[in-house]
Amino acid sequence: MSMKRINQFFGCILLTFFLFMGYTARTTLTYWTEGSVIGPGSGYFPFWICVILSGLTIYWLIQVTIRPGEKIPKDFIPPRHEGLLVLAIFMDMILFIAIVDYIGFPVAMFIFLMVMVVALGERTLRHTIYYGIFSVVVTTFFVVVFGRWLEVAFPKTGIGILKTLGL
Amino acid sequence: MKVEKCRKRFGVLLATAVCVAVLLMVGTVSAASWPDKSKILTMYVASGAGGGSDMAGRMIASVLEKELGMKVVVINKGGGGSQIGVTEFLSKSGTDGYTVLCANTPVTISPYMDPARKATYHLGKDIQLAVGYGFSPCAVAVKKGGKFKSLKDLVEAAKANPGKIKGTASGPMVQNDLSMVLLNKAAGVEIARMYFDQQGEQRAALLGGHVDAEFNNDFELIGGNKSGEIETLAIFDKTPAVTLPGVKTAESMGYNVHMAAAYGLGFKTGTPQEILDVVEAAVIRASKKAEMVESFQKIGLGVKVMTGKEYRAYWTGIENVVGDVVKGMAVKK
Amino acid sequence: MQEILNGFSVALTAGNLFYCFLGCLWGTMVGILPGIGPLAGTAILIPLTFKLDPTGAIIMLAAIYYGSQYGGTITTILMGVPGEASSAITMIDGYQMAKEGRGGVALTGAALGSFIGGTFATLCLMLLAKPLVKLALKLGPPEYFALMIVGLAMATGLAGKSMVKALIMTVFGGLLALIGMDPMLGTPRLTFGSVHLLEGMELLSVVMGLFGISEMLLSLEEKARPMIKTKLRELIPTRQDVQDSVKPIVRGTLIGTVLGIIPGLIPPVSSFLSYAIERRSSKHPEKFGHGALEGVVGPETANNGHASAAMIPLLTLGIPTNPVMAVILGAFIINGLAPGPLLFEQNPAMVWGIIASCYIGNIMLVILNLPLIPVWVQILRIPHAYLMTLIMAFMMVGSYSANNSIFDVGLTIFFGFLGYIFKKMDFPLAPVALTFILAPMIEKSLYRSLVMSQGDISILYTRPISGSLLVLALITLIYFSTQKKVQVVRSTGVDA
Repeated sequence: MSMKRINQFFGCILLTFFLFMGYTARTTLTYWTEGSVIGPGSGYFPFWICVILSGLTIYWLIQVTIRPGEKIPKDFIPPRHEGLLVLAIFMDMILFIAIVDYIGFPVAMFIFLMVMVVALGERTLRHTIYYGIFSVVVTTFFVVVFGRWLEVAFPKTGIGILKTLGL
Repeated sequence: MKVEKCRKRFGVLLATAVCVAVLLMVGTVSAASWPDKSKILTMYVASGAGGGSDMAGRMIASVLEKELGMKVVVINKGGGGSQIGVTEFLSKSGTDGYTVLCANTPVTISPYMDPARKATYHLGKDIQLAVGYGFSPCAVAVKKGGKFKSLKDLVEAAKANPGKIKGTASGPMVQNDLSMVLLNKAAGVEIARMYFDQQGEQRAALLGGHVDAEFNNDFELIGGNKSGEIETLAIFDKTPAVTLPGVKTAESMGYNVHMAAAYGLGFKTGTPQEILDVVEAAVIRASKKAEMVESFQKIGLGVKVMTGKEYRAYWTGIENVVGDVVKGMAVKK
Repeated sequence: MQEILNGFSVALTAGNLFYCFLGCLWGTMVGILPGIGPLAGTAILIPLTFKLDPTGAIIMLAAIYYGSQYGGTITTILMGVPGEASSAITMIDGYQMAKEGRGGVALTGAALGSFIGGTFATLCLMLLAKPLVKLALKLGPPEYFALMIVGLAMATGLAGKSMVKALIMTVFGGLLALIGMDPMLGTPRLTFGSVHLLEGMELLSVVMGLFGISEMLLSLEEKARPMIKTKLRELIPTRQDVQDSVKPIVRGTLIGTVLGIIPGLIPPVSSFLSYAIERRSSKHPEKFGHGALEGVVGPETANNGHASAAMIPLLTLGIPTNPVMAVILGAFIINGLAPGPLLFEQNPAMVWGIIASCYIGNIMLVILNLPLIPVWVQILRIPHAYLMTLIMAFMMVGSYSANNSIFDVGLTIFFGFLGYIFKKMDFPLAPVALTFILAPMIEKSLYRSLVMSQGDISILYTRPISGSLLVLALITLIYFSTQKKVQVVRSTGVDA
């Protein structure tokens, strides 16, 4: 696979997205309004912006197709270990938003921190203990500073046991 | 909102008294156990921090904290003209009475009266109103020393130049916008409606002469009125407001327009009526004390208590007004 | 003059100094913590203002406001967390500088720039307040529209190697900004039935994802991680650094002060435009995105100048140019006072006291910040695993705190992913953010202009000010798009 192919592939994804948005705007929204409110309706700008975007993307697609292909830059594809790391951290973040409403902020934050720091750090027992302490301290910091002092309303748990523990 | 310790103690005493009174009156266990003072009352304010609705919410939160003797935590959840906040309130709230919504006509109404907004709730179905507590009439102001000296001047000018006289409001279908629509209807004119999300932008457009009139809530006009930048022409209420001394009602000038923001408290449908009664009684009791009246006056918000029933009736009236306007808009689309 | 001196004597009383200091401290903290902006920081304290003496209360609120502008820089530069929207553009070069061990220089430059920007705006408040505000009031909706178009034209100055890519990103920002309720009719647009999208996407989530999360993910991929060492000597700017900073500070001050007076413009507009201008006027634009000091100092100066200038319309006419100013206006009203020309006559001690406190506050902030820079830089010595985790957690909590919304956290992660992909594909990100900020204002002012003219589009170019602004936009477009062809080095993918 060359950079040309990757560019073409990416351009097609963008184009599909813009066409879809433009189509949605044209079909579901009012294009022009008359009466007391004069002028462009709610669908006017979305439609034309999508038209412009699609045009630009097609131009870019032609450009990358005509031009001689470049080599794939060295840092484009991450090394295996690092790539997996990025994926793991992504999953960790998604896990956090998936569970936080059910198990409450403190526990979810602790899990998030623990997973990430372990993924990045060294895997020895001694370090794991350090990581645990770190996660507890940081979670407490958030709960106290953001939750108490700054009155941020973090999600609360709905689970009975955690509730009685005051988390 | 932190309350001083001595006041808290006083509040606890009071609330105990309330509980005993309710226990005697109703005699049921479920109602008597509310409020459980070890719990927290969560209040949803469906607007961002710092605005008029937020102020109104925070004020009543401190009142409830004192009267009920329990901690009240305000959650700001702005956006979508209150639709986001109300939707979240309904999804997070139980019927145990520990989550309360700071409702606000007509802002809370507009989303579900407009079918395009696809609101998942409707007041009659999902929310029970406990009490109304705050009231802020809409008013219209012009630049001081400008061409308009009275509401009549403004209306006459609008009649002579249809569509050329411009008024500001903070957004479509909020109280200020509705007051303009109603004035247009009552006077048979067409004042063009221009929206500015921030109050500062409205005032700048007015003082810069880009618009002719600012339609706003009375508390937003107090400062400009006092400093002599603007002149309030009329107030859209049945009686003049203390916040704007010397300003007459539009009704007295022959334009039958009434529009205001009315703040109240609501619970999710299914909450026991006894809990609503306790809240209603607490607010009524507080409203008779100088403390609440004075602190409300400071931010320019009038105390106007409506019982749950009265507030409901008022609400239905506004629903009809909003409904008519939405229908009118649909025709013009 | 007598009045100004009186003002200083009011501001220098022990009580007011204390409130000012308290405000600076709280503001710095609010700024350091991402997500908690000055708005939440001041709104929380509203109940407190009931109990304080009005002058002290307002001095404190104002100090929180400009203090938060200083604080935000620290997390942005050292940790790569753009805690406020205006910091996003500073992050691009600031974080690169920190990685190279020049974080101390970046912070010093930013602090001094902020000080100069803030002080100059306050000076304007003192001397030129009335004429400046009069000028700002001349701007009606068509002029706003034209002004925003000038800003948009500058987006081309943010282009990297490929102009098409930059244009796609510029317009894409506009598309993202359209999602949400129509400003004219309130109809939902492209929200696909989601209630959370009604108000549009949170700006903080967009920039925190695009700039913050994506940068973290990319830096996790780098295999070789040189330990960043900062020696104390390197904290002090070299003569070259000082030379590089003078012009950006001057330009940033002017941009910030002028745009800050205009109601409805938010500070990120100033900082983004300052960055675009610095990049265009630099002799070595290829350095931008790889640790150019000008890219830090200019925007930070503009940002703080903008914030301080916002006090001008408030005190002279009672016009709050942004929500924080509205909170401060509320503090006046609560105490039965109304800012405006009358207040200058009736209560000069108070007004001038507040103005004088702005100087004192800015001086306090510099004194508070400069000696602490060596301390803050120590953050970089935290072991990699801990630091990265901390940064990510900060961004998640920060994006939650802005609206108490888990949806916003999801949005941040989504934009982090998007930014990661775009950086890989070598698409510039700064134009997306710039149009995302400008597009709503363009659209609203267009609608307002059409209401003014009853649908006649010619109002946009027939009025003298807006017409000349549009010509300026055209000149800007030509000037910025004919910049010297530069070889942009592709290394980290950050090329703005």
